[in-house]
Formats: sequence, C-alpha cells, structure tokens
Amino acid sequence: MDKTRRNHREILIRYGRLAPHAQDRILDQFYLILPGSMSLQGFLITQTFALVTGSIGIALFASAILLAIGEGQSLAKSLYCCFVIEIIWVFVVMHLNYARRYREKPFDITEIGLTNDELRLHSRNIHGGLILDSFRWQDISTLDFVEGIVSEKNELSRDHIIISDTRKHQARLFLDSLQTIEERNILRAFIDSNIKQIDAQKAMTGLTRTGKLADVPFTKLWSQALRDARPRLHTNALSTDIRLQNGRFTIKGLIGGGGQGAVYMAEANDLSENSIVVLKEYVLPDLVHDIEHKDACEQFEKEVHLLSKLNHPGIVKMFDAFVEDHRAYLVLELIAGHSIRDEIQNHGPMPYTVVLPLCQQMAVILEHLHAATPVIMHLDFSPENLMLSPDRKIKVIDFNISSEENSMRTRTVMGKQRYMAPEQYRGKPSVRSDIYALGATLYFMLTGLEPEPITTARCRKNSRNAEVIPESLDKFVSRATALDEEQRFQSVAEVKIELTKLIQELRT
Amino acid sequence: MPDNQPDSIYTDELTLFQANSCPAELLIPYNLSANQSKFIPFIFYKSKFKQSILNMDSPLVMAMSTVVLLNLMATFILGIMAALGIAPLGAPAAVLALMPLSLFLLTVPLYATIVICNFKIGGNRNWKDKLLGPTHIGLTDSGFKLWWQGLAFYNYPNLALWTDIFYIDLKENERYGDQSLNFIYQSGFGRRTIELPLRGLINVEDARLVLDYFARNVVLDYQSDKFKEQAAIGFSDSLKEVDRQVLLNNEPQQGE
Repeated sequence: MDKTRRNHREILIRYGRLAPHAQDRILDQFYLILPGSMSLQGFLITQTFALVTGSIGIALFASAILLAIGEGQSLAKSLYCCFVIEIIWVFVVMHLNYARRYREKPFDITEIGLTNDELRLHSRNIHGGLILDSFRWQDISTLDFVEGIVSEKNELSRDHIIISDTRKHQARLFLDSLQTIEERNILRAFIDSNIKQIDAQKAMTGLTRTGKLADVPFTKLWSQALRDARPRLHTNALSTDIRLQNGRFTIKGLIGGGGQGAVYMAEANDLSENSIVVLKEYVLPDLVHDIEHKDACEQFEKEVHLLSKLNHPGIVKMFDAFVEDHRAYLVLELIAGHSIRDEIQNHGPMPYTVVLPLCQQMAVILEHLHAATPVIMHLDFSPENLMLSPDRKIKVIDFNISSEENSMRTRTVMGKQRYMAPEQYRGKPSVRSDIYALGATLYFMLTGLEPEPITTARCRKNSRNAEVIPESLDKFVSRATALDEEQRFQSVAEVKIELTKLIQELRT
Repeated sequence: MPDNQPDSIYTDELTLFQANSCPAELLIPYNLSANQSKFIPFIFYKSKFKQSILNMDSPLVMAMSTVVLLNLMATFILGIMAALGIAPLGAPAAVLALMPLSLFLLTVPLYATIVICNFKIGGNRNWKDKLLGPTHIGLTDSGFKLWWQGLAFYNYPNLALWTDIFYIDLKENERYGDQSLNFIYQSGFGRRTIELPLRGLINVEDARLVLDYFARNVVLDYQSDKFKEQAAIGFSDSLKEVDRQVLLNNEPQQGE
C-alpha cells in the first residue's frame, strides 16, 4: 500500500459537477482570504477548540465586564449566550466556506484517482482532501452497469456503475458525473487493462453510452441549474465554433430563434461518431427571479421527460439534454427537409392527392401520442411544427407544451391561436384539441390561407381554387374543426376511419 | 530505478494519460530523502518548503492563537479586577480561566499526532520525508501543484497557474549539490519562489515530463536562457543528472 501510494503515478479524473482542479482560479482566489488550507480533521479540531475555549473566554470576558459595571448578571446566563453565539458563528463560517466552493456535501466524491494498482475515490473540499475508499483492481469482484430507468411514478434513476471488491466495499459511479468523453475513455482504458478476473464488458459498454436516448441525465437538471450561481458567460445567441459540455458539442450555425432561446445546428463529438445534431436552447431566467427560474427549469424537464418516452418515426428523436451557462439545451436529431409552412409558402397550396397521405401520417402520429399513458396532447400541432422530409415523411417537433396544466402554456402558444381549439383557449384542452389543430392544418395545406381563429374551417368557401377541393374533404375538415367538441371527431381512431373512407371514395 | 516498480508500469499509465489528452490531472510521485537527520525540527529547518508547510496549517495556528489570546485577555481582566478588589473571583471562575490553557496544551499535541499518523501510516519509515518536501506533483492543463499526501488526508498548499509563472530557471542547488527547477509565480499572497530539486523525481521519465510541461506551458519570454537551451536539447544534461541521483538514492534502499 505504502509503495503504491508513494511511487505510482495517479491520474485524477473529475467527478461531479465542479471538480476542484477544474476550479483552479477559484481556489487561487480563496487563498487571498485564507492562507493555505487544512485537512478536515484539522478543521474539526480547530472549530471544536474555538467553540469550547472561545465560549468560555468570551463568557468570562463578558462576565467580567458585567461585574465591573456593577450589573449582577449570572455567569451561567452569559456563558449560555456566548455558547449560542459561538455555535452560530461556527456554522456561518462552515456554510460560507462550503458555499464558496461547490455547494457540495463534504464527503461527496470529487475525483476518481486511477493508478495501475487501484481505483481511488477522492473527496476534496476547501479544507483539504480525503481518500474515501480505494479498490484494488485485482480485488474487484463486481463491476456492473445499471441502466437508468423511468419508474411508473415518473422518477428517474441515473446510469451508473457498481463496483465492489472482496472486502465487500461498494461504490456507485454515476456516468453523468464523468465530465468529458476523454475522462470516460481513461476510466475505460484502466478497466480494460487491469480487470481480468471478471467480465467487465457490461461496464465497458455502459461507459460508451453517451448522449443516447436512455441515458439522459435529467434527474437533477433543474436543481443543477438552480445551484449555479456563476454569472452568465454569454448573453446573446451563441456564435459559431463555441463549444459546449467541455467540447462535446460545437456550434455550427443558427437555425432559428425565438423569445425564449435559439435553435442551433451543432456537431456532436461523441464516442463512436461525429454527427450533426440540433440544439434547442431555452434561456433560463436569472436566479433573482427565483420562481420564474424554477418554473422554466421544471417546464424544460417536463419536455425532456415527454420526449424521452416517445419513440416513433414520426416524432423528433431526443438524444440528450443538459444545462450550461443558465441555458437549457435539448439535443435533437437533425431532420432533413423543411416545415409544412415553408412548403406552402414556397410552393402554394397542395393538391388534395398529396394532402391526404400526409394527413394519414399526421393521424398516425397523433394516435401514437394519444395512446400513451398518461395521454399526451401535443397542443401545438401546427404547420411550423410539422417537418416534411424530401421523401414526403412527416415528423412532428416542439413538445414544449405538455399535456399538463402549467404556467408556460399561455406564453408558448401565443401566435398560434389560429390552430387552437376553443376549449384550449378556455384552458381545458383535450385530445380533441389536437384534432381541431389537425383540421386547421389541413385547411392551411389545401388553401394556403391561415385559418380564422375559433372558426369552423370551410375550404371550398374561402379557397380561390374551390373546385379542386372535393366536397367530402371540405366536410371532413369542417367536422375536424367544429367548435363544439361533441360535433368534432371524438378520437384520432375515428379520424383514421373517416379518412380511409374518404380516400376510397375519392379514388372511385 | 528507485525502490520500486518496473518502468513498464509507469509507461502504461503515462501512455493512457497522453493518449487521452483531457482535463484530467496527472500526479507523479516526488520524494526528497531526509537522510540528514531523524530529528523532526531539524528536518523542518532543512526543508525548502517551510512556507508551504506553514501555509498548510496556518488556519489552525491562527485559530488557536486567536482563541488563546482572547482567553488570556479575559483571564488578565479578571485578575486585574480581583487584584483591585472590584469584584471577588469565585473558585469556578478561576477553574474556567485555566481551561483554555489546558485545552490548548491538549489540542496541539492531538493535532500533531493526527498529522504524523497520517504521514507515518501512509509513508511508513520514510514518513519524515514528507516534512522535508511534497509527496507528489500535480500537472494539469491549467497549472502545477505540490501535494502532501498521507494515508487518509492530503493537501496541496501550493498552486501555480501556468499563466501566473513569470520566471523559470534551472539552477544548481547549493544544499543538495544538484539541479533544481526554480520558478517564481504570482499567488494570492504575492510573489512566491519555488525551488524544486530534480532529485525528488523518482525516475528520468517523470523528470522529463515535468520539465516538458514547464517548457510547453510557461511563456517563452519568462524562461531563462539556460532553461531554453536545455529545452532545445530535450533537457538531456538535466536528465542525466537526475538519472545519476536516482541511482545514488536508490542504493541504500535496495540494500535494506
């Protein structure tokens, strides 16, 4: 043990959000206030010493003053008061010390030390460092990968590796706490070259999982964001070549922007591939607006939850989500093509022979959403959010408005009122609200005109080319956009049945 | 080679580190032998790192001094009052007045014992070396650290960011009679000078690594002419010297 510790090189990889040696500058600033640092034991002894002797000393001093001025106060009372003051002082000092650094608990793992003999778990804080535990490679008896899951109660666990050894010591290493791919690679390389006695393949495979659907580290996204008290690095849209997540993503350009953030094209430098992805950004409010900040973070997390549950070719895929510099990001697949709105604006209204197959695809997507448990209502089903690929496949994007009641809804749907059902206006949306939006979208596709808000859409009445729109299709759109929910299609299944009949009828 | 391991082990770790260039920190062992004396105060006196060691414990020293001063002041005032007959001192107050001194007398050896145990269990018979100098050197993309590492807890009182180093040189060390890496950096307290004898590095490969890190990261204008010359020839002269020292240091240990 001695020779190992003394004579081996050790590689420290960062673990947790703010590992100490990534914070050299902060550490240096700290030295301005307190020269050097001390061990945890030293700190505890100092504080205990200060607590006891300081209390007594101050009490005696206070008593002496009181006696000197002739106030016959009891010594015990003075002692008690001073003792309380000293305790408060000690806790204030401890709190300030920790708050200055990472706001982590004193014994959290901050680094993983790797030598050819062992793996060490370090916990470093302002008062020095401790080696919490160490696992000799040759003594490791279990190295298992546990995949993070979403429970029935929507609680999430994180992907982690469980290590245990012949001493029955056990540790869990959460993969989202490893900060860069390179650091993961180092850990993998050490496991690969040092563990021969057991099958470590599962852990090795687990360590390659990065930025994929199932290992979204969103358990503590918003709480992480709330804990970050550092000032913003960027106040405007990110420029090209800015790197995020320690170089994991490189911004390649701006795709679009909105009130609450921008959408970027980015290069993902993942373990196995370099690919282009879309980063959808949400600028979080400043911490001073605590409630808005928390609401925004929770809203973002809800969208992440929702997208992580969905797996359908007609729905945009989410690879990952993260929070950085007071901005939340969704990592989404890049969809080739353009939106239905762009298509109509560039090429005019579509013939019904093109619209009907697309409508079938839309119905299938909505059916998938409405069949989920609990039911997912898109509530923003509009031409902007329907992407059309070159092979005429529809993909729906933007799940910012969830099926749950929340404060973001009103803000988010602004500007899309033309596609909103009356009950959605009233704050009581249902699955039939999505059917209304589908009908309004069909109207837009067939006529090239924006639907009137809260109005039953009549294609033949308003279109310049009314004669090319079959009457049965006009009736179909009218029924889909009926203001009374009871007169509308009651489910997407009914829409599909009627649509099939309509297609057959028009063919004949 | 020192008391120690085959070179291939080091190569593996180093290869892994270099192959995965990233924000990880590389700790390499450092060991200044305390052969001169077994007397702790003398070892401390001989150390080139007195300031670092003091910095490591200065909060404790400051806290204890403050508390003792406070208590002595209280005792003094009580004594004066008693002497002047302003207020009679009861027996409990007299006992309490003595407590701070007793606690101080207990705490100092207790703290020293814990520190020594940490080093002694971690460093075995060579634990006194850790009073003489650091046990490890930490190299990161951002800076350089000196570590004191025992069994359970450790510290790194010296931290120099590469950008804060504004002079670096290779000099003959008068005390040890071999080369030292001398550099001056700006810390939170002002300018600091570190004299790092190369003989503390336990093999040539580590020495090359440390020297290369400095050559690569410290601004060229801040490197002395001698350092630049040595860097141009791959520090071959310095490394030869390190190799010789390593062999010399290793002999008595192999014989035991």
